Amino acid sequence: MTKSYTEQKNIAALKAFGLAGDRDDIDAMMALMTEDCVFNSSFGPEAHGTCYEGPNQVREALQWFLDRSSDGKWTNPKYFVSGDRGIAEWTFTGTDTDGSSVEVNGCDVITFRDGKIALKDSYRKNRTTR
Amino acid sequence: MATAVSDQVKVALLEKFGNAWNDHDIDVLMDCMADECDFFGSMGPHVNGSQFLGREKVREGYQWFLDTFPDGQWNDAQHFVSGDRGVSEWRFTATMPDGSSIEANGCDMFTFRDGKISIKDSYRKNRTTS
Repeated sequence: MTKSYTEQKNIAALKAFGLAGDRDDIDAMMALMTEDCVFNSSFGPEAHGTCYEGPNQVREALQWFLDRSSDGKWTNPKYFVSGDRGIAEWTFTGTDTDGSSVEVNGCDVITFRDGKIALKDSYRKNRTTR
Repeated sequence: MATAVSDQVKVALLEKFGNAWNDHDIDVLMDCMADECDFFGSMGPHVNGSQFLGREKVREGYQWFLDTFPDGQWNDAQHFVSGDRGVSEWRFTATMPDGSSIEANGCDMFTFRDGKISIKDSYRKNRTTS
């Protein structure tokens, strides 16, 4: 099926966001988010993980993730969108702060508005060591 | 935006599948699955969590879930579909085998083939107790 203009714009924003994350470009990431953006991280004390509201909190949280693994990459990304909802699936690889290496699949469940990311709701597999 | 008829049919399939989880009806669950199907659970030793490969293993994996969480419910489900990919988001509630209760958001990344589910790739928030 032919994608609507909205969907083409949304998927372009999602791809650009992933590339900005790979080069640790927080400004480019924030430019792709709405002024009232929300980020729910994959873990935390709430049912939806940890909620960061508004550009200041979201920027701080995303920067924390970028700093945590300076060699972190979101590899093999796959994207699809339906109207103003979309998905990015990826394999995160990087070195954690304790020197251990991380390789785990994850995804972002996105809500778009006006071609930007209004909600990034993130998940990662809970990878066990056994 | 108009949604393609084929996408609407798949959303209906995801609604049927989600209801079958809440009804704990293994036969309806398997009726939604393609002959060749895989299930990747949210937690496990692999990069994509736990792996149940092939229809027989998928059925065992689903049955294990239903048996382990006899009051498990997948609440407030929302679905969207784009071509041969689809998503269900939900809030899982259940009593754990140790008697404690769990409430955590999650999602399924689906791949369709011939109008049925060929891959269910599941995620859940890693809810911390702090």
